[in-house]
Amino acid sequence: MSTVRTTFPENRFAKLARQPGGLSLTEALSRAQANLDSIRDESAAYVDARLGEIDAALGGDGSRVEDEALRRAYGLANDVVGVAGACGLGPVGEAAYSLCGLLDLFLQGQGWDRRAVAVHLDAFHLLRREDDPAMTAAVLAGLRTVVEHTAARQGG
Amino acid sequence: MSAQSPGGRINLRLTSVLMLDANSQALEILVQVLTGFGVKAFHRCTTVVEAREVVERAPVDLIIADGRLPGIDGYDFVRWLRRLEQAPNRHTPVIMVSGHTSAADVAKARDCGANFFVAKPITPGVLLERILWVAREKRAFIDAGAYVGPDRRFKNEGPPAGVEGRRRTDLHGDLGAAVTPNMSQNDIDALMSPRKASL
Repeated sequence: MSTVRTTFPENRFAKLARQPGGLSLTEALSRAQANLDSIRDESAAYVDARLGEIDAALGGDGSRVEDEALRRAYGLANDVVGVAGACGLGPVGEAAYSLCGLLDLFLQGQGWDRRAVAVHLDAFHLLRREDDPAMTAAVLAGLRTVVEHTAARQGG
Repeated sequence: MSAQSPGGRINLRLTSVLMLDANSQALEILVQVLTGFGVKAFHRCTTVVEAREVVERAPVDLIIADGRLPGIDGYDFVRWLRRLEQAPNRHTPVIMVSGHTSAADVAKARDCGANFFVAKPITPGVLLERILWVAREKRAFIDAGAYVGPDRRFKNEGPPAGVEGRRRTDLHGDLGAAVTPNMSQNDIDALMSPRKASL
């Protein structure tokens, strides 16, 4: 059995955060949201640029994309996950998360399904301009099904 | 105290926060949210090399790091941080943020020694809640060789039956059998229900 050392180091952050003054939680939240809103357009432009790069990395003649390009597209989709929700493009972020799951399956199992990738690329274009919640929910549910079927086929 | 509770306050004016994310826009989002929370001092890092330089140079009060980075990833950074010889940054609280976590990274994330995790996209409500958790953090810091970081056991329900506990605080002894029947749901409800008191 290895030796386990247990200590209780001082939590400097906690000490500072509890000092008198500061902001009410409600005020902190509302200031943070206002700041996020101030960079909304910049964030949306960032998402659009990444979507274009994903299209370029994965669109092609339909044959399996090299692992390096898959990893690049995975990284780009992950970038979209991190930003889309902060600029009112939450459904685009969810579709990007779904694409990450799909590409991770391909990278793990050396698989490939051109249609599963294509439906994600199409979904990005649709969700980018669609604001009907019912349509959005249906598209995202469809993407989840596609990833689940791909995982089942790969034995994942 | 949750982030939604109106009565609480938080003072981050004097804290310094290191942020590590290769995604420049995600970093900007984090800066905007933390600025809203009152943070004034930031260290923005887009690579682990930059982040290492900062923690070796100056004390940092909170680290918010993305797990997925090109080259050396955020999980390896936290693993390295927890094994630093010199305090104080070895014990600095770490909130890991992550978008999609690949199957290959799940175990790394679990074992890196971070205090809390937040799924991207970052929302002010969730991040503030995790920050409040950090501000209330009372978990022990464990150095077990293979794992160094805050105790991952949030609940202490004692060692399994028949197993000798390894914590100093583990209680020993046999629990006796119940001597009275279990309370009925009505009995329990009666304990909870408010009653008018006559004085």
